[in-house]
Amino acid sequence: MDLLSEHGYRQDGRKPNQIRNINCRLGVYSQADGSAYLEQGNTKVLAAVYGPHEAKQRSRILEDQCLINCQYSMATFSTSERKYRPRGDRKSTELTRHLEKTFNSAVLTTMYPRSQIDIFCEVLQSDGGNLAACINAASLALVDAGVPMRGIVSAAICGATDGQPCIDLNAAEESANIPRLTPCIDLNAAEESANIPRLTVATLPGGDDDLLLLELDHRVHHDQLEAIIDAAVKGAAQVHACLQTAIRKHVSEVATCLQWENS
Amino acid sequence: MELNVKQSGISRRTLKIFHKNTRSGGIVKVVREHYLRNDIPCGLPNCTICPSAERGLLSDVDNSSISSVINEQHIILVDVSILLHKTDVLADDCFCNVIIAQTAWEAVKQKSPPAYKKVHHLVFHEERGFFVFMNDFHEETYAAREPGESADSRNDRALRKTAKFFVDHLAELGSRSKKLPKLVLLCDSVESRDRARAEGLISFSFAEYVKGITSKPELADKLAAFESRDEIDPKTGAPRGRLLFPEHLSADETEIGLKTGRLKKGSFQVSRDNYMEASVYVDDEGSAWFVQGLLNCNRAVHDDLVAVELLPEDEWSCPARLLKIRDQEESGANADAELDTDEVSTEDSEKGAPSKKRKRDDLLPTARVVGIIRRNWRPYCGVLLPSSVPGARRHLFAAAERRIPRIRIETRQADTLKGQRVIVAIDSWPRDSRYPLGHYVRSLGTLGDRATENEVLLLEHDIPHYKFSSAVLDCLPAVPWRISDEERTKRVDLRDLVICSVDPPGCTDIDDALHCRSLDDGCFEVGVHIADVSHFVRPGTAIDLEAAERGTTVYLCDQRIDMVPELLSSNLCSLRGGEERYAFSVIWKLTSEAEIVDVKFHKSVICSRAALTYQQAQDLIDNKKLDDPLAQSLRQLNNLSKKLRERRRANGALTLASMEIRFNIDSETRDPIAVQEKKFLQTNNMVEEFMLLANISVAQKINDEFPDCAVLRRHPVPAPANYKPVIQAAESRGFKLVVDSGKAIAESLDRAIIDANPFFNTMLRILTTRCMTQAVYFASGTLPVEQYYH
Repeated sequence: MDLLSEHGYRQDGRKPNQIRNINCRLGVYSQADGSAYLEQGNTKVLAAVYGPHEAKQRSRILEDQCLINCQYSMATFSTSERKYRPRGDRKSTELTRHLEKTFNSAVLTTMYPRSQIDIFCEVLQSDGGNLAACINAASLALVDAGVPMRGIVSAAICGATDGQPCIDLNAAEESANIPRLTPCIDLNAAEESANIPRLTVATLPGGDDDLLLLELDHRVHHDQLEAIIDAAVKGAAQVHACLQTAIRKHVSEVATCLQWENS
Repeated sequence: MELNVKQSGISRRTLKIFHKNTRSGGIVKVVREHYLRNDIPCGLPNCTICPSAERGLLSDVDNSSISSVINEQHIILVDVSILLHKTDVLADDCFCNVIIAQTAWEAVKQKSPPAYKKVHHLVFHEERGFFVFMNDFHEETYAAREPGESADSRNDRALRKTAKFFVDHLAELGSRSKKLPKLVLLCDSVESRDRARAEGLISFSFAEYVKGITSKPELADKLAAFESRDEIDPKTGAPRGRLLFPEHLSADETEIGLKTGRLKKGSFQVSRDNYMEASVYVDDEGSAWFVQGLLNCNRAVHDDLVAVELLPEDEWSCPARLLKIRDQEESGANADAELDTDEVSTEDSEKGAPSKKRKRDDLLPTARVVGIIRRNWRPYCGVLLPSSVPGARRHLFAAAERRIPRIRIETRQADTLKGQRVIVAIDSWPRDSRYPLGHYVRSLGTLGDRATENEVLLLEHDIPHYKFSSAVLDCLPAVPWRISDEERTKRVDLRDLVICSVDPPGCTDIDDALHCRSLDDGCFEVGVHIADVSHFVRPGTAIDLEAAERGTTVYLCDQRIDMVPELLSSNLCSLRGGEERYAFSVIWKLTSEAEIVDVKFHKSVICSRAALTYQQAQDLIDNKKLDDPLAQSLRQLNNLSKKLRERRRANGALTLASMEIRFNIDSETRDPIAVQEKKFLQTNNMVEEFMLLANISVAQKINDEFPDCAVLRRHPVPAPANYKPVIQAAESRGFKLVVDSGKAIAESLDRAIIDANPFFNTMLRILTTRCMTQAVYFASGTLPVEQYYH
């Protein structure tokens, strides 16, 4: 399957550098300390944060910082074919580790020594970019919980296709050094199933574009890597703008409920 | 649905929901997002409302007088079936300003790769105003599939919606400027046409439009095949004549058969010697099943991908030992009689069958074709067979490739096509027809004419020979071209060496050059310089893709089909005498016994002293009076090459022969006058020897540097059975060929000499060449080193 048509569009009508629609809500659970629901296109994710609280297992206590404990899981009904998904299979363990690593570097862990923060992510509907969507949702839930972080973490997945849109071929000056691969950001499930290199990045925009996570599936020539990372970071920046708007909106809503005065 | 993320061009978001059968038999619901846009160009030139398209704009040409059905300037919107079946007509120059809806484009892409290829060419490679309108992504023309609606009727509705959009769009534009074209919807379905007319659109069938093109009656001919079939075949689908062939299995049945192993699939290869026999190569190792008789071939055409079923063992047979070629049979029989009776008599297919008494071990696994997986039909070149009925419309077409069956076509211009090479495409092969049905595509020119026959050769071998596109030409460096200072610093400067090239006379694409000079310590420095094409052809550029598509330069008797544009092939990448050129150089230090002491590889700048022909080089070597550096270096090269050659022979190298010929061309008419075998001089061997040495050194080098991913070339060892013809040929004259190893073959070939017939040995060598396997490319690391044979 070609990601890009001859005319330069993706199968769902987006251009290569366009993300899917984002829809999100903060504070969806009352019992959790922080929670968020996020839709990225048809990928729908719930995230809940508990803590910081005293570490449950004594053996895992860290003396100088808090422990980030994540769990990634997919609902049985999340894909088009219903499937029993036991916790802790290889794929979700891997994604769990990615989540933990990402938030370990984002959360100011040294502020809570000897304690623990739990982040639970559940994919309700899977349509590509699951890890990126989970990171975005968890980031919102952490904000909702009021956990201090270095910034709002945002993530995006980026694929690279060699489907060269024909329109580019005629631009003579470009033809000399066009990269053979065209990066496409925010892949959906159909696009993810194509046999192409895929890169998920998590960034902390606002600061100096810190890369928290860089995960590549398949092989790609390192000459192309720069362009793909670049596109992915730009995608993450677009996502970041959306998350920021959502947080502002949420805070102003809460403020109205509590009848805070506008300062 | 809500759209939170505002991005340029995206205005709406919808969901496409459909149900799909899974492999395990379940049904799943698939939900896909679909974004609608407001930045889709409409393709009209000077449109002030839409953003402008990047390419493939409709043109401003006034086409009001093309077809008599409409006498205003107009834009044509075509439907799927026209694109699928009638691209040959659509490709005619008189069609311009055609809009292809994205819906139709995708349907063609999915249903028919050959039609897609043609439409793609029309849109992207011709400047005739073929424009693809992305109606499925446009917010105003998107038509979601309604519950219970078939895909085809949705496509028709989407097309009408697009037509409506254009009518409104033009009206809106019309209020701003003066004169604008009308939109004409061409579609073949009567129902859709009626609906379109009811909605106030101007709509015709394709045939109505084409018949209105009075200046080109041949276009109507191209359509004829479809129409006549419509007339004959009633809507009920009832067969009109006797059914001659068994039915093909459906795609599902075939797949089940393949999975259970009852059927095998393979490419259908008709025998060159007997058109009623064929082999189907059922697996990669080259084992083949034999198919005999037209009934068992069951309408498969040469090169089709077919499903075959093995016959019970008592029906197995073997190739008949007689030639059966259509021309011979038809010269006796009256072809028209066959055409009218339209029968495949069973005796006919039995006639060629060998007597059943054959020895059992002669029998081959014999099969019959039960289904066609993929047709590999292409347009065929050939001639119309003369018809005995004057003024007849139905004709038989004989393809130049004799493994293709006769094709029945309809044409009203048989008289003009007599004595011409024509191209015909097959449309279908119904069960009740002895011959496949096709239609006339175009005429190439007079039979026997040099230009026509060249065209036939190129088309039949599928050699791309169109002009280079502007995108390719844009990749060329600017002329006048000179060596840049930047490159000069990067490359080794070898301009002071006495380098020369040796090629056949008249050669303009000189890709290699040589030099040799003696060193103080008694050794020689020898260099082979290859034109550095990679400097001009960068990976991934249009010129690179084009060259990859063409693959090689093709030499015809009076012309050359270049792989890269002429500026490169015969100028910048041709190591011409006295001009500075970029090259890749291999430079050896050889002892006087031609042992390699040292080897270096680098990019270089060279300046060839002279571009010699083989004969000129030979004369320089032989002329003892001459003693300039050029003659000296040639003599040294010649001596070294003899030693290299001797050593190679001692190691078991095989000298094979293949005829190389050249044409003597009349200088005025450019007609070939005579064919001449190329003379073989010492200098030929000299060049060959050093090119071999260069190849070997380079291969060793890249294999050392990239032990697991160097791309190398090898000759697989031929199967002993391959040698059968040449062993038989040698035996007939009383010689015994030993084929155990390359060296053994070389030695036994050397012995097979008949003094009275000096050509016999060459003949044997040519035959041996044909037994060899074709060279294949492979990556080192995928094969053990012992198999790196040549």
